[in-house]
Amino acid sequence: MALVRSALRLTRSSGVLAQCSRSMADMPLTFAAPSQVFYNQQDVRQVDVPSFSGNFGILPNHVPVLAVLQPGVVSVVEADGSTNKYFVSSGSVTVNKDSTVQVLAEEAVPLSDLDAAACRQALTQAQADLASATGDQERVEAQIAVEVSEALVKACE
Amino acid sequence: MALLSLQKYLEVLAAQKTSRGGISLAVKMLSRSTFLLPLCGPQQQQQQRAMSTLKAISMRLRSVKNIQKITKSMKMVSAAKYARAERELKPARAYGIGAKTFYEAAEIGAEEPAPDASQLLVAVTSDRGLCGAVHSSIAKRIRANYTPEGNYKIVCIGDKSRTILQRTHNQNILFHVSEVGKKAPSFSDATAVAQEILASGYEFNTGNIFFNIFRSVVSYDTSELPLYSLDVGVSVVSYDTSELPLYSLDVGVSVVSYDTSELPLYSLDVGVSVVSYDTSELPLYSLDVGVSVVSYDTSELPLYSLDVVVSVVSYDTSELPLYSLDAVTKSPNLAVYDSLDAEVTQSYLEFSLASMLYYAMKEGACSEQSSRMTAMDNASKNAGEMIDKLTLTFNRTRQAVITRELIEIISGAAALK
Repeated sequence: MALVRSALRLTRSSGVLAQCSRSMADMPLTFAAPSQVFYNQQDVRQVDVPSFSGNFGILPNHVPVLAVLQPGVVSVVEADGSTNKYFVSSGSVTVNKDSTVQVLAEEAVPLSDLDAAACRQALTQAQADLASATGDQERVEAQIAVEVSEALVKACE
Repeated sequence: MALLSLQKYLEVLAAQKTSRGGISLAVKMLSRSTFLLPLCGPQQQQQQRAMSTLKAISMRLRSVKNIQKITKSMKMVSAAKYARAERELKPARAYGIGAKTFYEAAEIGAEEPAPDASQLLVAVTSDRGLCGAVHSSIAKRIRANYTPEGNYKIVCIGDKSRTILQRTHNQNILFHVSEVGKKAPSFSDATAVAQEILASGYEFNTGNIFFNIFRSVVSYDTSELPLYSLDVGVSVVSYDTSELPLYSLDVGVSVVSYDTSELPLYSLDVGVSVVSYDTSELPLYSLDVGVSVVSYDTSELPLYSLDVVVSVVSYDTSELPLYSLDAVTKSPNLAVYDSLDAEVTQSYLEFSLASMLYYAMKEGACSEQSSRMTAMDNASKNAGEMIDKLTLTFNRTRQAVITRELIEIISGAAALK
């Protein structure tokens, strides 16, 4: 009887172990923009995000964190090792203690969809707007436009 | 129209008489009877009454037909809008669920809030009506749970919630957003609302977004009936189960019949004519199979023609919690999150507010369009029934008029002989 019980306990604990080791490697990523979903709770290997406190990479079992996205490139290393890059304008990043990651962007596009010439044009336009901006709000808005288009140009390179 | 056909009828009658060699008395009688009419008082009155009812019926018929045209086209429009709203809802849903995950994972708001905590309620509706109880269920939910004396403020998105709530909760309305519902809600709309909430200066501890979650597939189980799966909006849903008969239900189209070799043949007419809305969480719909069995025939297997009235609600009124910066930072579970400063948390929450509003607005828009589609479909159906009835009455009355005229003519002719 005791033997059976200990055997049961053993199998149970090994089950727990197996569960743990599985969740070690899992990192379900949700990466979405309001009108488009890139990843919906899909397991990935690594996510690199640009945040206000600097760029950082997220691997499975990352410490829980909240961050705000900065204009820049989010790169996702998928489970099969391939890397996808996206440009994001702003948004939020959440890493929860169960290792789920949510990257919610206000706008996001695959890097391959960006037109380098149009980005440069947008930057010149934004700089011109900043120069001619009057009033605080207008200036701040123009500044944001410059920041985003600078990041765009950088991402295109 | 009625008069024309009457004349034609008489002409045919006259032609028949002449061909038979008789004198065209009938036509003469008709022309004479018009001269005679003013003289015979009560008879004329009676005739006029018949004529006037005929006229009234035809006018009513015409107006009901016009109404049906309008409701039909409104259904078409909302079907197109619904298709778009549903397409756009898919990414928005993933987005909204993503925004919600943090609050669930961090178990923020798990503990009871203080009784005097101030709250912010956001009612997500639109400006447009004629869509069932979509808007009123939101207002009803707020009214049922919050007395006007409570410590809370309401933000009304859409004129509908404002018109319903301002009668009882006028002093609680913080501001309202109009011009909602013409176009599909966009993220910038949500940002504008979020910005207005933040700029209003109202400090709230917790909050709720009230909106309708769109449910596309309603499936249910009853002990006596096989499983049905209804997809409201999608024209035909068929599904296969090994043990159960295969049903193909078409919501909107009147009769769907299908064939199975071993099982009885059903012809289902799913008229979603009764729509009842329920704001409580549990029953989504009620099934009425106290049905009228229209025709019933047996050769080898029973053949049923059933009129199943299913009341389907394609949405569910729901709430999405909101938390202030204070409530979040005080949450004990936030300690596990790394390197949080006040600025990051605040920006994060502001963005999260916009995301959740966006999600709620998208769900609401989709529920509204699907509900309007059903409502307009029902209206068209009801108008159709009314048209049938009126046409029948119209034809009967016309027949009665013709018969009476004939009697007059014939008896007149007989008197002249």
